[in-house]
Amino acid sequence: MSDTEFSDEILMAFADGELDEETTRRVEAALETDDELMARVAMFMETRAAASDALKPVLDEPVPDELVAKVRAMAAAQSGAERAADAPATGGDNVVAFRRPQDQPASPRGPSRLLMAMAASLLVVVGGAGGYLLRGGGLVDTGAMQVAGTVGPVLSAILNEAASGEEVAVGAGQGTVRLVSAFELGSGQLCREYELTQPGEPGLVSVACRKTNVWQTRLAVAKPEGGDGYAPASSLETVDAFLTSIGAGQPLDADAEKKALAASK
Amino acid sequence: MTDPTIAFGERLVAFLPNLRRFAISLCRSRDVADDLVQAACEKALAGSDRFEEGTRFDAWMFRILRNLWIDQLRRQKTAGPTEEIDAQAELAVPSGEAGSEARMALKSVAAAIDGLVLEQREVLILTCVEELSYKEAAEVLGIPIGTVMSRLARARKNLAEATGIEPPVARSQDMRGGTR
Repeated sequence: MSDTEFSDEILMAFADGELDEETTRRVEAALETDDELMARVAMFMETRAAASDALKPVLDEPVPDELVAKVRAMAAAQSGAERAADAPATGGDNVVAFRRPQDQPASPRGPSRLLMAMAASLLVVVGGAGGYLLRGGGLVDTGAMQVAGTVGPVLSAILNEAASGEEVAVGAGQGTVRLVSAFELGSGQLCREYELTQPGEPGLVSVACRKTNVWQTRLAVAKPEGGDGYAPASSLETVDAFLTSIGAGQPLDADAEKKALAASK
Repeated sequence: MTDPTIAFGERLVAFLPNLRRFAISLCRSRDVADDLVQAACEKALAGSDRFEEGTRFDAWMFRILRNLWIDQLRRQKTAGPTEEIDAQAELAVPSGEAGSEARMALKSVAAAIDGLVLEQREVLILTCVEELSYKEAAEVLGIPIGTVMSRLARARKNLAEATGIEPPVARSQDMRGGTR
């Protein structure tokens, strides 16, 4: 299937969870094999998150007292006017309705669609505390540590050799890689989850899978940094949901992992 | 017993931060926005019996405010856009913790949203920031859903371009070096 089959509007509606089921299935099917398409969807996911995060601070600004006072005064004046006009008609059963909770439930647009979208091969990175951190086309090139797309040689070597549980320092002060687990997909493809910490960069939780001896990043998610008040859906939850969605098996035990890593595939 | 109009006023007060945010993004000026918010509240209070419980209060308020703003723009057409230029970047995050790259990035997103034309800006705010559905946004703006979608898609492509969120066509070689 080709990208051009889907318009921007369709892909946007998919990213926003507003697409009908039939078309959603078609987009999902196409995403499994089409990275360019995924990048187009990712752009819409990113821009939504970026816009939402960027304007969040405005909500925290205090509303000028004067404005609040004026609204209250207008309500009081209005109330007085109404009472004068038709006193018996006001009050009563309306009151209950007005006391409904202020918070309207958000539109039914859960993360599940988003995660389904993420289940294709992709490089979407959901921001941590600071909000949105990464670019849809791919994570910033981090030199030897290159994470996006095909994993760079230094990191590949680590993924090929280090046992889960190990923490490996990369170069001189370039950061550390902590291997979390190794597991196989239903297809037998070997994947690893690892965390990457680099000085001055947000930490990343990433999943890479090996195909013909090349490691490909399937997911990279920024780890939330504590303390900033606003944290989007936990990155670790995203990783878990992602693993489930790609049919990840249980983590291999130490022996099986050794064997799987050594096997050339 | 709570007076319904007073209760309605409190509901408005609770909603002021969101209303103000929408107004700021429309006017790109906090002072103008606060006047607009006040005018919208006045109108809402006068017509509070026309709000149907069970429908979205936020969408209803956004529509009132936005219609007022459009009226105002029409009236001002002859006055010229003097204040628009200065007001640019008003949305930018106040620099609390400057230096953090994430924050700098967010700033530029806010500035990029400010730079969108009104018809793209308003649809972007309503859907992506205030979380209205396409249909709800269409009702607020008084336009068909198809128009909401085409404007929104354009707004997001422009935003991606302005902030360096890579458009798909511009992906690097590395990204294609896969073995699929």
